[in-house]
Amino acid sequence: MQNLANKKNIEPILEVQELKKYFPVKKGFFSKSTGVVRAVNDVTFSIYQGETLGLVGESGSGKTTVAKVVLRAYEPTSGRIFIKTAEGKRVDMAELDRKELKSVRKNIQMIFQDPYSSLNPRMPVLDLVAEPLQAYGWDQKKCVQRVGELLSLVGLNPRYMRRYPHAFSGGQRQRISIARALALSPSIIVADEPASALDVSVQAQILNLLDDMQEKLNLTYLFITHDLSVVRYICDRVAVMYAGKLAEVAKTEELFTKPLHPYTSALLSAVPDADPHQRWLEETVSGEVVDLSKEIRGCPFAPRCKYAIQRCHDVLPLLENKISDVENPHFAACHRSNEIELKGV
Amino acid sequence: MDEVKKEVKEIKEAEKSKKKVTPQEEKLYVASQWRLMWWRFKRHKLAMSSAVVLVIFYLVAVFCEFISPYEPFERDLNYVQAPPQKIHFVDEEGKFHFVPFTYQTKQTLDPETWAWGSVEDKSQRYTIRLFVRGSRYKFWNLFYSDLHLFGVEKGGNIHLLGTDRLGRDMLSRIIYGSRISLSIGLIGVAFSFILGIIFGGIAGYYGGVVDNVIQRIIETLISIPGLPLWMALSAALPATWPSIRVYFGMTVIMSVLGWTGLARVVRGKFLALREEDFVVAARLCGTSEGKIIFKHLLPSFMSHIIVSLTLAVPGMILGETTLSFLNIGLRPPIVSWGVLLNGAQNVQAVAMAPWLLFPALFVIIAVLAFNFLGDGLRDAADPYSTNE
Repeated sequence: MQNLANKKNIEPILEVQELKKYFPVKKGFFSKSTGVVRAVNDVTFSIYQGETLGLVGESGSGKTTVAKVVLRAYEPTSGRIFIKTAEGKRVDMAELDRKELKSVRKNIQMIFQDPYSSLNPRMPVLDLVAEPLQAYGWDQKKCVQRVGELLSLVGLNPRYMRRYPHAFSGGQRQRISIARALALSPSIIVADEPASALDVSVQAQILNLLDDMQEKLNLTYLFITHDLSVVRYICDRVAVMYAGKLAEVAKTEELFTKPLHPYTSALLSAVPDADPHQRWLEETVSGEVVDLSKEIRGCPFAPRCKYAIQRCHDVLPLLENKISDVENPHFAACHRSNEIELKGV
Repeated sequence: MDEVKKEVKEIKEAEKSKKKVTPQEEKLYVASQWRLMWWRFKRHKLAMSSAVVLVIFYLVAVFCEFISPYEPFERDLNYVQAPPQKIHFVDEEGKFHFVPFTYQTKQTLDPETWAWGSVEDKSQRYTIRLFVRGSRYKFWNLFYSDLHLFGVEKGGNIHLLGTDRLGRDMLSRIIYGSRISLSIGLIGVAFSFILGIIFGGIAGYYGGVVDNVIQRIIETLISIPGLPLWMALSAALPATWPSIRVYFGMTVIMSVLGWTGLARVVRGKFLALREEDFVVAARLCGTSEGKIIFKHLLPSFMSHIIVSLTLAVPGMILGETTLSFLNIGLRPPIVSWGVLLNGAQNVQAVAMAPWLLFPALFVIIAVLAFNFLGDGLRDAADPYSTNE
């Protein structure tokens, strides 16, 4: 699947353009809207069939909001979300009404971060996994059969379908979530930190399972995480998010070895290393993430960036391809990416 | 498909090699929310005993005609304001009897203090029996009968909790009063439940302006001082109304003032659950809003609603008692605990006939039992909470 993304004749399966999500800030007795928080501010990316795009960033950078807006769990403020349906049509999810949305949602499903809160504890596994099927009018007998198939697919015993979620461990619950997300045979899965709520020993199992499923079912993943070691393990391409904007998008190895954005470099150096001689706090940044409710003129990272010049504070850098390779572009939103030398890992 | 089969086989083998799940564990794994709640509730001894007490109380209320030894308006002119009669096992000669009995008593007037007293006439024993024929009554307004759960042989009397100033048996009146006092709690709560669920549900589900308006109405309602409002509302009930209509009027008044707390609970639950991951997940996989409400939201907070309801019943019972005691609630000839306590309003009556306060004891027991039951239910309400 490595070079799929580069073939020009292949259309992206999911294409997000200039996506914005502003949350109103309400204050006072009459809930007057006093401003907005720009949680997702002008995000553009595309994902190709069979690939895994990692979306990384620190807490509050807007990763999960992107996921939820893409699925229309939150209504986007503006922007377009083109998706290629199973029938090969290209539709803009952002402008569909409820009924049309339901028919398109078969193609894109979500795995939540916390398997304890995303499965209703009051429903047995059968009902949980069959819920999407029932929403699309499957009858009970077919549901039972399909749920059995799905459970064995994700490595659970189909005999357990009458049990309730409290009978399962975190890892097993996440398997149930995965079975549920796969129930309608979607082509795209949005996985919102699917392993980060689990024990380290179980994380690898879940990641391997996702990897297996991708191979077996030819899935495309939008993989949201803050764990860079997971990104390197599972993602084909990575998009780095900072303060509601994309800072850098590139192929995984390229991004890890030759980061072009100072924020990416800082993220990479923050990954703890077993080498006692490495001083891993070298590149870390100080200060706080900018206040997303304030209008920012320049680069959102400029106040924390040690390479920032006056221009960074005044002019917003655009996300542009910084290398000559058009087939494997390396996008970065930095004015000085060509002038400074950044360290990768 | 072959690969799937292979994997299933592998899993099955792996299962076999692991230690078997015991039947108890399997029972736990397939237990629904209500069963888990029941298991948890059973461990709460105080709540369990309260539940038993309440079941007995309500059974008594349902079958009050049969259980009470006398009719509520039956007057015994030989026993006016008489103290509770004693039950004896040992007769005058010191002989022990397995079946308890009573003596007739005679009222005496102390010539010096002018205080009433009573003397037992020990010449004749009257054995207490089960299922005796007594005064005639119409059971549930359906058929006539004269069978009572207990009583004494012909010619004797049994006033276990004494009589009032008209010579009516207190125990019988308390038993009849429980029918009104206990049912007003349940019916009142049922009304507030409907109002609370509707208003709270609308406020929580739609939010925004609707929510704001409903919240302000609730705040206004609970800021009105309770007692004057009650008085005003019950003054509005025409004095010419038949007693049954007054009873329903009172219930409606109580619930109109009582739904606010419940509405807030429902609203809060709706708001919290609307953003729960599993609700978002259901929405994302195409489940309709109606199904989400009935399959996800309602089951999730039903247990909390039941707790709130249980804890709201004592308020209703106390409300009825207070209003009737103050002469602004139910009026005779209705017999309720509050009406009975109304007879114990002046200090003289209480000093001379303290047994007129017995209805208060029953009010206390019922209210405490409901509170303990509510406590136990609250502890059991969320079987998925992590703090055991």
